[in-house]
Amino acid sequence: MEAAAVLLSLAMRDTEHPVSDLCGALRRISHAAPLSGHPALAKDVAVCIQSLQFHDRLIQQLAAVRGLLASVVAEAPLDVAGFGAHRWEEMLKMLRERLSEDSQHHLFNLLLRTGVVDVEGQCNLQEEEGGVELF
Amino acid sequence: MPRILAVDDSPSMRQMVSATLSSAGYEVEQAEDGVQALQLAGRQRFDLVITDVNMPNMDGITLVRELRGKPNYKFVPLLILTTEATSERKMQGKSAGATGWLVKPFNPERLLATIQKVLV
Repeated sequence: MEAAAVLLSLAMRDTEHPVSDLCGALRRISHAAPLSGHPALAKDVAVCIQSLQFHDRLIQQLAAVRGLLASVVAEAPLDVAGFGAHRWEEMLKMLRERLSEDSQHHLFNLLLRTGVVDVEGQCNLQEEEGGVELF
Repeated sequence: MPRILAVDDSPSMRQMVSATLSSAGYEVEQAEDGVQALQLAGRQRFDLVITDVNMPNMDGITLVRELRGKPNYKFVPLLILTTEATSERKMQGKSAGATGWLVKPFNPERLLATIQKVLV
């Protein structure tokens, strides 16, 4: 599990600079040419910006998984004697409490196949993507 | 042009929000969490703040509540831009004093339209 957490960290770090470079390039493109005069270019830049946010989401989810792995290693050794269903439930509760986003709870349920995977809730979240609500 | 403070713990998200807003002519400052945003907002006047929710040190909902408590930001539009989309979370934002709630991934055109709308 420690090795998995380290691998995740390395993979996340590997993408950091290229994505940052890509964001920087997009920013320069936006500044260099007034996009309002180039609707096709503006549309392409918008597609890049919107799509890049899925990378950000992936990184957030991987960070959550890495955090869970680290928690398991640090606080809930699996090789202790008497590890049973009760201890397993305790550990799952501890891990769930560490998740901050609703989407991370969905991911957690999918990963461990515990609890009920809220397919309807997941669909609703996807429908909300890009949504705007003014109060 | 109006000055906007973009708050997000993700550097790439900050860059994307910043690129979108500055391409429309807005002057953009960035902060990586609520604490840094509060410090910046205390030193400078922003016409709008757009913030993520889940951030280290101080989350976006707390930041909105803190800003609303300051006389300078009582009527400044405070937008939340997050992956969270449940009505419970939105209610928390509304109660804290947020002007609106946008769900990631944002559409640049729609973000700019919303900002124009709330800045009027």
